[in-house]
Amino acid sequence: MASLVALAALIVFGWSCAEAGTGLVVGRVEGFEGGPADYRVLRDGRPIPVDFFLELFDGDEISVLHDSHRIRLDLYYGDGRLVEWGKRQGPLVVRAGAVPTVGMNFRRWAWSWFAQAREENSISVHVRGAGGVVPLSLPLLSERPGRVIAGTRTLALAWYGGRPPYQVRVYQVDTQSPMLSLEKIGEVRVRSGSIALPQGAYVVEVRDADGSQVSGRFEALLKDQVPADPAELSQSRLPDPVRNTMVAVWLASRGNGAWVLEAYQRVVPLAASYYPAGLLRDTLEQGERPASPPE
Amino acid sequence: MTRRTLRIHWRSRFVRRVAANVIVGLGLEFIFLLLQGSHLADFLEDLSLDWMIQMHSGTPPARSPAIPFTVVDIDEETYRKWGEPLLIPRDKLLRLVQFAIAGRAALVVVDVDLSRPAGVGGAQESVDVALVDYFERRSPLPEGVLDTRKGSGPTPIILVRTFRVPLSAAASSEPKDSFLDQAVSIAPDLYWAAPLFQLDRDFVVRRWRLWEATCGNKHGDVVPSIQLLVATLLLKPQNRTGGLEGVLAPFRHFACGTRSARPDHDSTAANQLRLGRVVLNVDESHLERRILYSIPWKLGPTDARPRIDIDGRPMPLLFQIPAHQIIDAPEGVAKDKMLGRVVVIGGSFLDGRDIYATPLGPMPGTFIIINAIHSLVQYGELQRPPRWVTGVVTALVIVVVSVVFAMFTSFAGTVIAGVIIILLLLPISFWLFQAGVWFEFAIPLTGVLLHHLYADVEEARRRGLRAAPDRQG
Repeated sequence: MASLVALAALIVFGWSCAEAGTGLVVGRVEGFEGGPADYRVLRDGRPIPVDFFLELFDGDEISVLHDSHRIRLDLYYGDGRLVEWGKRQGPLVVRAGAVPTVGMNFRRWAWSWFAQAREENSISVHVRGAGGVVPLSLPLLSERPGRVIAGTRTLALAWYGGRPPYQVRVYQVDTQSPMLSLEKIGEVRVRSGSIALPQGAYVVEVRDADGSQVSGRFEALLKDQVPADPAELSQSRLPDPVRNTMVAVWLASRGNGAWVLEAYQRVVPLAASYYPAGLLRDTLEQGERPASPPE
Repeated sequence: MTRRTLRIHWRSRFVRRVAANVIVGLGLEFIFLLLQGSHLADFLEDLSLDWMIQMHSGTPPARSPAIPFTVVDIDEETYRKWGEPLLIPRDKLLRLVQFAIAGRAALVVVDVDLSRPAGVGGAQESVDVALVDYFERRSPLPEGVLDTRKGSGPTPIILVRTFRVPLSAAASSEPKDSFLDQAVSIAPDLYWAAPLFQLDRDFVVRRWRLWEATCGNKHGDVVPSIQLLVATLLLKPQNRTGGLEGVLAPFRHFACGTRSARPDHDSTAANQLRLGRVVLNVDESHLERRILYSIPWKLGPTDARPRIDIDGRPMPLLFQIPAHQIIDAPEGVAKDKMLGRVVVIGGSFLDGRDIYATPLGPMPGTFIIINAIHSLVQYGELQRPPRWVTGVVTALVIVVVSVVFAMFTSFAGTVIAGVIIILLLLPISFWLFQAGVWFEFAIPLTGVLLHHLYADVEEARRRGLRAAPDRQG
């Protein structure tokens, strides 16, 4: 054992080499608030004009001169981190860091045998519990009969859970005549072509591959029975997708969820092109509702 | 007269001890030869190779040009920002792929399981449809053009094919179906590759696999490994995967038999796969499949990634970009972090369960893939030196160690013999390692230690012999 220790000591002290830092690019300025005058970059003691994408060299000192402004740096020679720096943090000297060499690794390995600190690593032994088939449900029509505007229009529907392919049937309560009948649907949502939807009560039935079935009801009402859009929104100069999405949120909050289906009809055409509309669509599909305003 | 007698006596005793030591050394060598290929010998070799790999961790590539990499990392922060989803959100994945393609990556590897549709209960969600649409409609090429064009087409995208463990012990692994199967079959430059690696007895990932022989629906198939496919696409761009498919084709017929089944090739050439300067042997070997890890996952506080020359500028060998940066503010991520690089999109978040033990410590799957590609392209297969070189060095070591132990006490002999071996063999070993040749230094050192034990016993025996007359007197 003593001989091995003697060997190790001999090797550690006898072998050492390191790579010296050179004037290398460390990263660059990605952006900053305010103007270039709010920042100072010193290179070898001389100021360098600050600009977007200014390359930073090993040893550059960056100072933020304005109290509330920050500079964003991409120091890609380390672990590629993005750094935001403000005045309170004081001057930042950027360093290229040293590329490990065999000698450096050898020294670290040798000294690691004498290090006092024990490295603690823990693992969690479990399996994931989620999964399986979620029961089929129809959250868009869960609370009470939904309401939509009657007339010739497209009808968008969505359900949750079950196993594809799905079948969907929409029929009028009075006449039992099918308004819509679709099969082999792979997705959990569907949008019909233009269909005639006379005033009246309707039933939606969804059946999945396992034979599970859910149903819900809605009423088609005349346009003048729909709550009028709030004046603040209808008279605003907002772009159409923004205004229509906000109207849909407002509508979904009316009548204790009765107008969710109509709100959904309005937001579906926007979902692909306007991200907040897509979020609202997904949220309504999952059964979540905007808070109702005080009456 | 007395002095001459003493000298002769000393010489004869010295020669006798050297001869005895040589016999012990030869005996040890014979035992090591007998043990070659055994678990013990492989274990010793793995330990010394692990140490050698650790000494080269993070060092600059030995050969140029080296392939630059970018990891788009779904890290812990990204995972939480995305609401800790059970599956990686496909819409975000699509945007990451699009970003890499727009940044003109040389190649994109998507290290994400794409066997399950994102919809609830196996339904195909619109995000899956968007992914399929994107892959299918990306600059399609006329049939027959694939094998002949000069690597100037769309960026190749490699998707990972996931596998099921076979229920029968003798069967090959079964590939899992994916909603992207049709897209891969019709889209040019879109490939499946196997992300499987060899797991050693101590649960450390040390070796790659060249390909997976699979058996699904009674039809045999061979799926190349990611590193093999990447090396093929980058080192032989003139015929894309044409050459690789030719090599893999004979194995398809055997994939539904037993795991070890393979066609019998008589010639050496038929057992070799040539990718530019890299030559791979089809036959599996303990040493040749070693991944020479050199790119660590995490850096020390003052460490930097090695720089390589790209268009005359020193650039980091590896960029690591948290995925949320690309999703939240793509304009803030420089496009040159993708340009001409092998981009690997994968996860390092703990819930992803994609972190494994390696000789360089815990490492996510993305980094194992990067190291495997880097190792394959930089070193090819690890080779042993010619037998005569090993023989000469072994003989030299035995003689030197025998002389040293004959001249000095056991303790001093161990130190001196150890230092001589370390000063001689270790630099040679380091030098050869960078050329992809493994020169074993642990076995001679083990030999010295065993010799030390023998010398201790011998010394004790001699002391016992000297003390015996005194006790009698």
